[in-house]
Amino acid sequence: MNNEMFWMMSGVLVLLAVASIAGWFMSIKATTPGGKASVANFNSRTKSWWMMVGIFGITLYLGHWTTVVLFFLLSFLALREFITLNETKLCDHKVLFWCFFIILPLQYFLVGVQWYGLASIFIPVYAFIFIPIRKVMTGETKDFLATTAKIQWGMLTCVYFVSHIPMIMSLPIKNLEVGNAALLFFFVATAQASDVFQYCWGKLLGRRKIAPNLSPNKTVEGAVGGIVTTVLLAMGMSVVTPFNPFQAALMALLICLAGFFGGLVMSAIKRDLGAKDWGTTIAGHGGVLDRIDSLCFAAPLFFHLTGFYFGTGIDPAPPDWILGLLGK
Amino acid sequence: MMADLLAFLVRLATGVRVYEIDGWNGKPCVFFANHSSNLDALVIWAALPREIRMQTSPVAARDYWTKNAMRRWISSSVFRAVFLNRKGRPEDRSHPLDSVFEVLESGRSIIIFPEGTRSLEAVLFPFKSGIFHIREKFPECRMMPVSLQNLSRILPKGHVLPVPLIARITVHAPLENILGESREDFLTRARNAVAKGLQKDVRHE
Repeated sequence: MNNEMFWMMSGVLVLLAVASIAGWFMSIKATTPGGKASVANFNSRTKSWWMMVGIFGITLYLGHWTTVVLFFLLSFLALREFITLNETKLCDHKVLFWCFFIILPLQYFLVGVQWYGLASIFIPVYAFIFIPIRKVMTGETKDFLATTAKIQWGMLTCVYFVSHIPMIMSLPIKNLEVGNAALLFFFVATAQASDVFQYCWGKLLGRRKIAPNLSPNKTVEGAVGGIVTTVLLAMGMSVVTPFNPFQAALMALLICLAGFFGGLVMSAIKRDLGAKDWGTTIAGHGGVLDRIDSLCFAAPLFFHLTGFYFGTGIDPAPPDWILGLLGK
Repeated sequence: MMADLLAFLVRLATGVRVYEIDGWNGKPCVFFANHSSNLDALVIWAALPREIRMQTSPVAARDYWTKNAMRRWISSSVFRAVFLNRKGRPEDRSHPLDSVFEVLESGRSIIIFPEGTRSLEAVLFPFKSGIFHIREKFPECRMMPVSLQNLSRILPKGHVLPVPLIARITVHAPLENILGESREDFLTRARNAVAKGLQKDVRHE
C-alpha cells in the first residue's frame, strides 16, 4: 500500500470512528421513540459501514483478482435480489441458470484476465442475443418481451455496469504513479460519500422533498449539501488520481449526478414492484442492490470518460494463452 | 456436525434466515407447509432454530426418497426423514401413518406437506387428511402452519439445476384447538393458514 492510499484509508476510518462516537452520544440523548428508532438505524448503518469498508479495504489491498472476486459476488447478490423481486416465469428457469452460473462468471473472468475488448461488449452483444434465443426455445410466448427485458435489464445493471468497477483496475492511465487501485478507491469513495453526505445533510436540514413518489427520504437540501461536500472531498483526494483538483471536481460531480439518478431509477423499479428495499442482507441499508444502486450508472461513465481523457489510448490485449486457445 | 453444515449451506444458498419461534415449549409439534420443490423440507428444516431442528424429522415419500443411494443417504442419514407410503395400504393392515405416529410418540417433531405432492408454481392443492388424523391422535401436539415462497422458482418440479433466488419462509402461530371440529373444517382452516402467507403483498412487507 502506498502512502496516499494509506492516508485515504485512515481518513475513512477516522470518519467512521467519528460516526460511531456520535451515534453513541445520540443513543444516550435520544428520548422519543421516533428519535430512538432513527438513532438505532444510524448506528446499524454505521456498523455495516465498518464491515463494508473493512472488506473493501482488504480486497483492494490484496490486489486485482480479489477485487474482481469481490465485485463478482456483489453482482451475484444484486442480480439475485433483482430477479427475486421481479416476477419471472417458470419457463425462465433455464435462461436464469445461464445468467447466474455461466454469463455472470464469464463476464468477471473476462474482467479478471483483463480482456478489455470483449468484457466491454460481452453482455450487450453476446448475452443479449443469447437470452431471447434460449427463452424462445421454451416455446412460451406469454409476456415474452416483458420477461426477456427484465432479465436483460438485470444483467445490464447488476452485472455489466457493476463489472466496470473492477475494470478500473486494468485501465491504462497516463502518468498515474499511485496505481489503479487508488483510482478505484477514488471512484467508490466518491460515490458512497455522496450517498452518506446526502443522507446526513438531508437528516440535518432536509425540508423540500425532491422526488416524493420515488424516494421519500431525498430532499433538495440533502442532495445539494451532499454533492457540494463530496465534490470538495474529491478535490482533496485528487492527488491519488490522474486529475488536477478542477478535473477531480468535475469527475466527482459526474459520479454524484449519475449516482443520484441511478439511485432514483432503481427506486422507481422498486416502487413499481411494490418493495421498499431490494433485500435484507446489510443491516440498516437493505439489500446489496440498495447499497450499490448509485454505483451502477456512475461506473461505466467514470470508466469511459477517464479512459478517454486520461488513458494511454491503448487497450490491453487479451492474454496470449487465451488467444492460443481460440486459435489466433 | 454434517447436519449443521448442511443447514448452513441451505440457508446460504436460499437466503433464508433462522426463524425464531415464539413460545417454544420443547414438546413435539407438526410443521405443515405448501409443497412446490424438492428443497421445501430441507429449507424448513434448515430455518428452524438448532435445538428444534435436531428434534425434527421431515416426512418423505418412500417411493421418491429411497429411489437411489444419494436420495437414501440424504433422507435417512442427514435429516432423519420419516418415510411414508403414498400409494395403497400396506399389506399388514397397519395404519399408513404409523411411522409418523411413532416418531411423534418418541418426542420428535415432524415436517409434513399435506398437499401430498409438489404443486407447480403458486397453486395450493387441497390438503390430504393425514394432518387431521395426527391431530386426532395427538391433540396436545401443536400444529404450526408454514408458508414457503419462491421455492418453486429456485428448483421447480422437473428441474435438476437450481437458480439462486431468495426464498422466504413464514412460520405462523399454531392453529387453535377447536373441540369436535369436522375433518373438512379442520383441513380448510389449516389450508387457509398456509395460503395466508402466500399472498403477493406479504412478500413485500
